[in-house]
Amino acid sequence: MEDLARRFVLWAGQQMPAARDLRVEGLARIHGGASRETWRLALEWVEDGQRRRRPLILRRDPVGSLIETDRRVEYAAYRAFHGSDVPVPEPLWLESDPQWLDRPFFVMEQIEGFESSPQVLVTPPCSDHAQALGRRKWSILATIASADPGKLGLTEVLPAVDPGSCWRRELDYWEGVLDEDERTPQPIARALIRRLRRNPPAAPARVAVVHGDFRTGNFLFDRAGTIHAILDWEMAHLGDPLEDLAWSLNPVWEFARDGRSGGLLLREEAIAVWEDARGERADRAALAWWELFACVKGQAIWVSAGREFLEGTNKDPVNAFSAWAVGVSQDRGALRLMGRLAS
Amino acid sequence: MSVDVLRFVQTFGGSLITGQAIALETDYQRSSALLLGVLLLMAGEDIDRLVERLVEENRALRELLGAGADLLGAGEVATDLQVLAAEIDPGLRITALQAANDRLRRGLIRLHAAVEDLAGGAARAFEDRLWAELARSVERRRLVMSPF
Repeated sequence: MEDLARRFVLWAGQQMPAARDLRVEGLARIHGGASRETWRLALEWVEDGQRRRRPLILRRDPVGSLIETDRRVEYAAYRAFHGSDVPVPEPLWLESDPQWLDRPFFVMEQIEGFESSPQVLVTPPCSDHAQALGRRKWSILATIASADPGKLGLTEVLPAVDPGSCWRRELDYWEGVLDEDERTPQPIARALIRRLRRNPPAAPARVAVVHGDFRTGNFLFDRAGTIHAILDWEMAHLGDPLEDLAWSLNPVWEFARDGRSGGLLLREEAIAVWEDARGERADRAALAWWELFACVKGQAIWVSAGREFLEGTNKDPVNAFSAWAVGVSQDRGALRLMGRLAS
Repeated sequence: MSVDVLRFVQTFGGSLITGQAIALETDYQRSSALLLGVLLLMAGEDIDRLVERLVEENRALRELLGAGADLLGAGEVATDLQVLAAEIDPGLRITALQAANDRLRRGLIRLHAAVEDLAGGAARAFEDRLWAELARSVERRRLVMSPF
């Protein structure tokens, strides 16, 4: 860890030529998802004769990854939404040269003093504010869905897709992940894929920014019911806005185990908040398609996590937990959505 | 005296969850240890039932694949399914049972896809049987620690 701090200081010195006497304080790894190593630190330096301090988050590419995405996408999404109605940390530097810290990374502002843990969210005092947090959560999602990707500069970074092809591109991609990474057969996910291909959804009116992993656990909140930042944009892409809404309703995020989506609002309440904020009704048939798709995408992610763990490329216990416990829950969720759950 | 495997994983799983196993300095280490403890408890839950679950499921799958082969009639898929349905578990080793289970579940996927392409009430009724077995397979794997 001392070596990482020393090397980070060397790199930061290159980015801040006016800074002197740089040092890193409080470097500590935190759980920021198994897809990218996340470190918390404070950078201190002297500039213009004054001692300065800035809390930062360092997101470094892992050796093995749950989701093989380009860090440029995540960085671009933070940059696009910073300063907008969608709260995000300020992105500061993107470094693709592995010579500095062995692997590419980016650095962003650390928003201090807030929580992201679903377990904290579903227990008092946070759970007392579930309604307020839920309303804010799905209102923010509607804001993302209504944003113009071109005006945000995201069409320069995210691959284009026409409205009628959104579903096929996503389904092809995640089926491919399953093909490549599954180590044991997945009969439920395979049945869902066949069903989804036979019954494609209506195309969206327009292509939107899709966060890709918008869920409880990926935002910072306080204990009074306010959301301060939307995190983990590494799967951001252009697509059907219903994809994000459906993913947020995925049964595996029912952390309170009482049927509330994301541990916050009942499914229909969450959809109503999203519709009110967006000023547009969600096509229920298309949403149902995307909810089943979310089960396929989820299982593909959990299967990938299992492969990383089994092959030893990423031994983080969260990979084993995801593949095992969440994988079973994902199948149960799919069965429930299809009315096929025995109990 | 042999070590009671269940007692072993439950004891050390509990120790990791409560932080009694080893002194850890950072939040990251503590949360990783907690998750390892949860995984040990999951392993304990599964160890106790794994052989029974695999034997029961392999038997159920063979019955289903045999019936499915009859429904499909002639053809390569039906022939392959009949071969799978005639297999016998080679013993009670978990690795061997799991390998058989993987073969049978791959057969189930082929059968399910083939039945979906058949028309008629018998095919739809058989699809219901397939989904019922899939639901049972998920319930057999369900863990106390599963998110839902």
